[in-house]
Amino acid sequence: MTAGRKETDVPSLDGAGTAAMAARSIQHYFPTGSGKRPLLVLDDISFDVPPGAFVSIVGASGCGKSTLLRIFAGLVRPTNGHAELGGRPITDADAHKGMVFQEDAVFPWLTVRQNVEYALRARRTDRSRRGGIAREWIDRVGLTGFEDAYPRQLSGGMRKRVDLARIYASDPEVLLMDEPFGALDAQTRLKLQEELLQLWEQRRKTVLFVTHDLDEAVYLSDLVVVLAARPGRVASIHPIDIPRPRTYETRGTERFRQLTVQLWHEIESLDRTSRSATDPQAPEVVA
Amino acid sequence: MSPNRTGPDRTRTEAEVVRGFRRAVRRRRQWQWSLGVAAIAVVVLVYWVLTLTSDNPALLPPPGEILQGFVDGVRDGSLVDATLASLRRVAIGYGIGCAVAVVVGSLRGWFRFVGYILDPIVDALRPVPALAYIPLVILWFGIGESARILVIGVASFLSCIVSVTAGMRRVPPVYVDAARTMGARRTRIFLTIALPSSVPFIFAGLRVALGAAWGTLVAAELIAAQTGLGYLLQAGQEFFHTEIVIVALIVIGVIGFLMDALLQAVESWLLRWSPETRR
Repeated sequence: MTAGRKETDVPSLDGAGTAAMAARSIQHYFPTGSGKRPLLVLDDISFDVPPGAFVSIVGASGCGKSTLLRIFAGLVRPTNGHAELGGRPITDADAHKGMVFQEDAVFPWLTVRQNVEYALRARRTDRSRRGGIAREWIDRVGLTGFEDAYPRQLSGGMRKRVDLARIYASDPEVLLMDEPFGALDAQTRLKLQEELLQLWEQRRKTVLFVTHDLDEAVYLSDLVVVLAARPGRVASIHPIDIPRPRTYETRGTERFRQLTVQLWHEIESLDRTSRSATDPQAPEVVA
Repeated sequence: MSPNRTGPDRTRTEAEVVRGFRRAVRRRRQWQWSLGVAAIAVVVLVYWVLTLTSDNPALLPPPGEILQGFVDGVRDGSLVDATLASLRRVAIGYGIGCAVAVVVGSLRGWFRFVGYILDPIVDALRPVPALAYIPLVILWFGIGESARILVIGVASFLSCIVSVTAGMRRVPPVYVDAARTMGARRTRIFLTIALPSSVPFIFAGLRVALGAAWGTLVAAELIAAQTGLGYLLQAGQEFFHTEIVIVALIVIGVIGFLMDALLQAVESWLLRWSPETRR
């Protein structure tokens, strides 16, 4: 689907209508209990996700980034506005939008192989093809030999790999990831970021990735969307012009540090202003 | 255990370590069994001493007489017949009661609107003890076998359904969300996510219900039964055969214990994936 793309070009923001996913004036309220005013968590969120792009959403905790991702997954229906997949409004969860969660979502009562095959069964893949597809993805995430293990026998990092294999095997149009490596230790997190990039280089699916780790966002992404908090709004969108393929050494480059520092300062100042004033700022694009 | 056996500086090979682990497990099992049997022996011993100090052997028959009562009961078939009759009632009543509890309990726990409809009915039935239904059951169904089974079934149902429903309402939402984003729909999620993740709760319910079923048995067999362990208890009391009463009590205890052990074995096989399962 993105076969024509070269390794180094950064997806552009213009060319509306060709977006793989888009947020269209999304506004969302949470109930706060009877008698009180509902809480505005997302306000007027609009942006495009170009096809085949890796887009991260960052922002202070409580800015509604997870809620926004769940809206894209079809797990939450926004109060106003909508999210789009391929130009069509997203109304329900289905196999077109695969999601990886921060919590352990690998089914503990199924073995590694059964977990991967679950996704294939749910989308009614031919019985004869399930085994082969499952084997292929278990191999790609490096879990060959653990097919018949139960999740309790695996480490946290290995369980995340099962999750990745499962979602890739089900072959969704887009991948949604909600701080997938947030609960892992630092070493494992770096390793899985590396592996995720390798998988993504092989199959360039459009990815929307929520994180609070700025290094992670810059390292993985083509675009980083910064959300301001209370209520969540798009503060800025940063193209990440670091060439691919990226390696561990990329983290030591001048450009990498510039970008992470810039993002850090922006989120810091947003945090300060959101505490002093609740006046929503107009989104600006920093190039 | 003692460092001298292998020497403190000797490196143990993997095979030795494996053997050591196995030995530790075996030793634990041996302790478990021998202490359990010893405790029972102490209880019997204390009882025996009590019978020696008593001057009324008809009320406190010594262990030998109880054993004789057991052997006689097996020989003339009265004990065997009573046990089989009771087992049959418990098996049918418990089986039906729990099957209905699992179906109804999981439907009302999982599907919100089924819960809105069934919760008031079930929760109003629960505080009424199963025994309180006996007069009504006799009025409606007479004093036949079906009445006895029905009472046991009601008791099993009422004590099983609570934890089945609780399990369904405690399914981690992330599993449901994950299944939905893989394209699973309502029925599939109910069968492949909600049910397996409630298995620990369902089994907790089944085990509580087993106790309730046996507990109700005796009362159910008061409904003009001519067979069964409950009948034996009553007859033993009426004809002043204390040893028969005690034998019937022991048989009920042993069968309940064995059935619970069987349930536990099935449960730990079904829950072999769970980190909490003890091996």
